[in-house]
Amino acid sequence: MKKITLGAFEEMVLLMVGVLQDNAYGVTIKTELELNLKKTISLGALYAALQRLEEKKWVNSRIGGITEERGGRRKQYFDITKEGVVALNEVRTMRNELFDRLPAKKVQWLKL
Amino acid sequence: MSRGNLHKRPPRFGEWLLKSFCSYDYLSTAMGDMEEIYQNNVETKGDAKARWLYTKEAIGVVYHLYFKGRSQYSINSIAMLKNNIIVSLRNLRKNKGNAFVNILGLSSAMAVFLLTITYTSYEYSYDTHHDESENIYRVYKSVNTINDPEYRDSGTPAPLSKALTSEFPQVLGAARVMSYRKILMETDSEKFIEPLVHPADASIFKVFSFKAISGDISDFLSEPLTVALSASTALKYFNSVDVVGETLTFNGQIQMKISGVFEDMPDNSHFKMSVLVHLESVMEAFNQNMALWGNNPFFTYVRTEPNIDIKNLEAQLPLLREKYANDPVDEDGQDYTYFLQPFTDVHFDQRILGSLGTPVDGKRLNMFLIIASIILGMACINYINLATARSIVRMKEVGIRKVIGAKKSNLILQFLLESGILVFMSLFVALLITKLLLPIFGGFVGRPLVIDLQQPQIWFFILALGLALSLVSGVYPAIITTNFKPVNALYGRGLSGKKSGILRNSLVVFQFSASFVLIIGAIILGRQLNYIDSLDTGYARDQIVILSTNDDAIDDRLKEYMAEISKVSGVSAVATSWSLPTNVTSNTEANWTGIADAERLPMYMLGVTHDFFNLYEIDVIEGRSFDKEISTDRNSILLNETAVKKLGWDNAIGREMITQSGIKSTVIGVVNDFHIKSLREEIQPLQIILSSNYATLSVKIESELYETLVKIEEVYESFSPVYPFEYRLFEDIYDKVYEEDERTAQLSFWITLITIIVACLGLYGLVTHRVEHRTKELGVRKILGAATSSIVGLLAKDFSRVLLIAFLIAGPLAYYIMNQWLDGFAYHITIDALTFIISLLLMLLISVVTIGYRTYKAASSNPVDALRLD
Repeated sequence: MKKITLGAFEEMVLLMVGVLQDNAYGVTIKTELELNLKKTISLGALYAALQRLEEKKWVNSRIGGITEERGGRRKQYFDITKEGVVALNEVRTMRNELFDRLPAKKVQWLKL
Repeated sequence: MSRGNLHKRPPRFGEWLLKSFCSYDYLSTAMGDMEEIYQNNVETKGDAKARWLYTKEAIGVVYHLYFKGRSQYSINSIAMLKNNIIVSLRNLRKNKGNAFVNILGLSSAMAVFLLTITYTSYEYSYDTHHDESENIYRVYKSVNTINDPEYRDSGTPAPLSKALTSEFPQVLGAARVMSYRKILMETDSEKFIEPLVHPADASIFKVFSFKAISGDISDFLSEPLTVALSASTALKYFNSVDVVGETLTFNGQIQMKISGVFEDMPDNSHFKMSVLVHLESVMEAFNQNMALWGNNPFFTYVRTEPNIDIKNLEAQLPLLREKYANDPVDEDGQDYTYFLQPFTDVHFDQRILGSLGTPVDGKRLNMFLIIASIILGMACINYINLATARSIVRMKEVGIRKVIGAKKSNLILQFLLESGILVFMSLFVALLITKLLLPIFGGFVGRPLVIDLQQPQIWFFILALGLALSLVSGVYPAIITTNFKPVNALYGRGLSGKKSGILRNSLVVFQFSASFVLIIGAIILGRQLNYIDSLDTGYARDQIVILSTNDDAIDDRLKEYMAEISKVSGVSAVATSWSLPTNVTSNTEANWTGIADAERLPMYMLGVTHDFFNLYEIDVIEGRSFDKEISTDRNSILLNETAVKKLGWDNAIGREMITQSGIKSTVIGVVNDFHIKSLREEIQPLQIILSSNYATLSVKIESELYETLVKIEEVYESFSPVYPFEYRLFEDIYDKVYEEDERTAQLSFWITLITIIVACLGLYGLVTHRVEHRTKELGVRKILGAATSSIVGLLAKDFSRVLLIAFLIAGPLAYYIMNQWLDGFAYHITIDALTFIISLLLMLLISVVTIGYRTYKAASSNPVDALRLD
């Protein structure tokens, strides 16, 4: 199996691209992530992550139409690819497996 | 957002950052996203915050995408930057001579500047280590009855500090300090001669900031008969800092308990206290009057509340004495006016006499800074000249760059980068030189100077200095070089017009003027110091030894002691005096029956024993000296020539005067004017009386100095077994008075030398420029038959003109400045034409040597090479 390397931040970005569906571009991804993670995110870090995801072919990007409030600049939208979903799924399965192996008693004892 | 809503423009800097450094694949996306966020932020968070966030975001984008991300496209600006650096380095390598001249000039000037900065900033750091040192003041006074309006001294009376704190609520604390030299301190087992002991009030620990090492700072000196030690003194006495409660014996008479140990005061304190003793206990033992306002041996320091009107407080000080004193005026009618001086200024004030520590001349420090900056400026001018000279050679490169599409700003940036590289290389060399020279220089100025390269501020400073210098020296050549029209540049016709020539020449004129001023200054300084050296002080200095007598045992048996010393073979005379002839300090006023107070002439006063004149070879030119056989000489007075002249007496001998102690005395003789202060100062009127009170004991030795000293030591030890034998050569004391002048002379020699070197490098640059400019012309001239000598003459003509103009500017300026300086001396040389002629010849010689080689090479080279260039 191909080794999947997906950092925590990359994973969140990838998820968010998927969640936002047709409306995933820089600003929306940033604001949604900030809402969910409750911390400020640098656009630069976001672009760097998107760039890596694009290289791994887990997201595609397309250029949108001209909008008024951006000084006439086009938006660059991102869409999650099939491989991206597979990767997310794999990461989740792996994590769930590990979580399931946590001793049940311990979880109970910690009152979780 | 409605259509009519005006869009605010994002901050230019952020946009520029993105456009310059963001990789292309994300540039447009990033700009769009950021613009959207920016417009939102403007509405929700306000303009200023939005702009700040935009810039911050821009930096983040550039950082993440360029430095951390892997962009598939190379970024143009970065590639250009790399290319420019390579081109600059190649250029340096291609013109090793030029680069060497530039780096040599810049780095030596920078080294001078760095050394000066280190030195002056150390001086300016004096006394700043106390908490809120700006709220500490020193009290000083003027004496109302002394006619000299400039007269100030720092002695204050004991009751003043208490009056200050009780009268003014804004004075938080006041402390009295005194200073005793060479005090014997004894532990149970050991004896130490402490060079300085400071009796002080406990409040000194509130006025100044001390750090307690052992004991509680509020207990320090709070009880009578206590002492506080610095850590290093405690270690010296007890090998431990944990010594609270131990006892010490002060001066062989008072047992004192140690109340605390504090951290050593730093070296940059204008006076350093290492042994503090309880003031009142000591004063009681020494029978000092603590109630009189006329008794002024104390130094008073106060701490005030922050931000008070100090002038207002100062204005209220004269009322204090009337309100608090039992003696509203002194017995002899003297009254004082008190002033407050910021604590951090004390170190720079030499006007106020009798300060603790040794103040320095603040003006001299500023002068050093100015000179160092001028040298630095000269080095920058050198670079400017050399770089503009190179612009002709670089013309084609610039032309091609322009044709390919370089914007002017790109080119300017390229040339700035070039100057930046050179400046930072020189700065590196200068740092190395500074690091190497600093210990020597520090020893020379007598300060523990260090550059701590671990401190970030120093790097900030160096970075700022480097950037500033790169800009200063780089902007003009960059603009000149990039100003060519590309077509002309490629044709080789882009020669800069007359305008730049004038500017370049005036820069060189400035350099030469500065060198001239410094050379003339150095010559005058040297001649003046020589002149002073040759002046007759009026007293002998050779073979005289000053013995220290700090043991009371000797005081009690002084006559016997002196008799014993004079019996030693090799000793020709022994005498005591109130002060040494180098610096007579006591002052009084001429007084005789029937004279009004207002007419009383201020006079210095000296008490001596019989052999004083004989010992110092001071001639009595009229009347006679004190005679051991004549007992009435106790009531006799000698005057110096100046005193007689100022009093206007035709025949002084036999006139009656009243001495300070109220004794009617007869003038029996007039002594030759000898210098009672430094040679800088005019000789003042002086009266000399016979007095066995003394401060110094001088011994004249006629045979081998050290053999005789050993014998004197034996005599001394039989009188004072406790204190060690100490002596100083009078010659050394004398030299010490002129030490600072000597130091200035040496320093000015080095500074002048460096200035001349830098100026010569400038001249070299100018010649290079001229020769490069006229290569073709010279070639044509040669082919038409011009002799080498006529071409050398042609080139030399230019420079002699520059030199002459510089001389005409510098001459009067130097004359003015040096006259001001000479006015500080009562006896000085007059500035004559010779000085100027010497300086002109010197500069001519140096210039000939500098330009000779370059000119000769240009004149004697094969003209074919010159003409084949294009």
